[in-house]
Amino acid sequence: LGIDPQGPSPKKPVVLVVEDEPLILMNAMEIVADGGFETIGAANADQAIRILESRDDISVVFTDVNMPGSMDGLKLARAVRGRWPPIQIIVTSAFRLADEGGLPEGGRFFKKPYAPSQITKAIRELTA
Amino acid sequence: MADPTRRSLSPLSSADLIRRIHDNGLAANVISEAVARRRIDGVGPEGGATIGQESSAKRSGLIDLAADVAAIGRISAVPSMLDVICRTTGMGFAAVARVTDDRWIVCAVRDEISFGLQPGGELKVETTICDEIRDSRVPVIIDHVDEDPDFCDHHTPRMYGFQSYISMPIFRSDGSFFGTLCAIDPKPAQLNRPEVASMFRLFADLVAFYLDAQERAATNEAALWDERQTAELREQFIAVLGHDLRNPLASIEAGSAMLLREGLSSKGTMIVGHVQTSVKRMGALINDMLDFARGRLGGGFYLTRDPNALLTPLLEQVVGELQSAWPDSAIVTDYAIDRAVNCDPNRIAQLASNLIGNALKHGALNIPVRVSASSDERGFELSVVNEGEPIEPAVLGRLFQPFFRVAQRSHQGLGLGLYIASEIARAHGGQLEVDSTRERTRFTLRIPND
Repeated sequence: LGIDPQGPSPKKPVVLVVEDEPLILMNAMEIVADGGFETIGAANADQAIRILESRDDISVVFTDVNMPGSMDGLKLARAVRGRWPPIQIIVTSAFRLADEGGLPEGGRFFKKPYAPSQITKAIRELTA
Repeated sequence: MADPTRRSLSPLSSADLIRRIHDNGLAANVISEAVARRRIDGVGPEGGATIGQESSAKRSGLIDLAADVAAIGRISAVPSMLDVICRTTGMGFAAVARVTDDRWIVCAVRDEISFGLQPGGELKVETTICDEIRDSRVPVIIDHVDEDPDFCDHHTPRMYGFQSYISMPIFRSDGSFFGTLCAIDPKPAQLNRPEVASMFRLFADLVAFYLDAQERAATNEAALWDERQTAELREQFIAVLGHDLRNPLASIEAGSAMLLREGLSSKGTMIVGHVQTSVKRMGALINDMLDFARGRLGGGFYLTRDPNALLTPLLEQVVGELQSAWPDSAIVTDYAIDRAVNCDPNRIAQLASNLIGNALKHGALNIPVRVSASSDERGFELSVVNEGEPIEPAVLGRLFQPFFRVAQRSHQGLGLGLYIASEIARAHGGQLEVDSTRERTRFTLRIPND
């Protein structure tokens, strides 16, 4: 019987990507997947909340700020921190954040356009 | 010779009136001024009594009398004027009245004889002499009613029980009749003195002056309100540019990045490459428009200053990026940056990129662009030099204006690069200058240490 010398293979962290522009969402999901993570996409904050309610294996939420719907990305980030404290948060926007304090503690911010390596590196650090 | 106490007479023609006043050596200037006003209004001295005298407010169909009362109330000099009038003439009641064709409303009052009028109080206009002044546009001065053949039987003195009376019309600067500055007393008074009429004229003019000034202030306030609305519009404009235009562009960028990862034919790769170049160019244009909107339309550039900014690596990076975009041109650099510079490094990079890009675009192809930068105790200096056609002196002064493009050299772009560069210099308390000779064109940025 084979014994896996490394033990059971660790499950890949799951990253929920939230972005309202379909092509940008696809691209972001590809970047995350290419970095070696599981990804799931949501087109807005409400969808993201429903996904978070339906499963418990998500370790990182990677969200745009400016999105239509009842919440923007920053509100989503704070809601996630409130309801699912262990989930790590990465926020991105074409604008600098007027108030970095709007970001939940420990959250990361990247200004668009971001380099794919910035994102995968941040996810790796946050899930280490 | 006419009785010196008779100073007015509404039923008489104004020519008659002027003659009488002249006869009495009194206030000729006042009357001729009033007549001149009538001429301005297009009515001769013999003209009908009520022509051309209605206020502009009335012409517009609505008179806000409460606002007029309040406007007089805001003139802090009025109580002093009324006080001076009572002291000088010995009369017990003085007032500023707003008079229209059907209303007589007191706006300010000094009442030592318990006449009983408060600001906002009204008399029936037809019971007043001011009613006649509104029509005749000339002052009325009565020393002693009982001895005045025109007024001894007049209903107004009888009704209100006064013996002395003076009333000076108040004309706004547009010539319209506002009301009167008037005084009454139950006893006779010596009003037939030039200084009394002059004082009333002066005070009436002052009241009009203050009213005009208030109107101007209100207009300025409206302009300020307009400015606030413009500011809101600007914010919307910036939001549209910043988000709504950039978003689809970011989509195209994301899509082309994914296509490239798909593995395309060589033609496909080439096309996507061009798409990405266009996306970058469009992005740069939007950024320039945003900077223009923030800088020119108010708000200004926000600087995020770093007191310890190290500019050498920053400039090396800028030059590196431009060098790769202009592989056939040479850029020679000379840095002597010994001290950190208190500046917004991103903005300085943007400025340097605009200047160097400009030099690459317009300079002679086979001669390197020279970039030198230094910092010492005085401040930071960056200069970018290219050779080639000099810039015409007439053009030099307009180079830093927004949307300025040299027609024959026109390249793609909005003509905002140099404008933005000069705004960045200004935001740092520095200066961007240009000089151009047959040998070379040089842009120099100087930012003094604070």
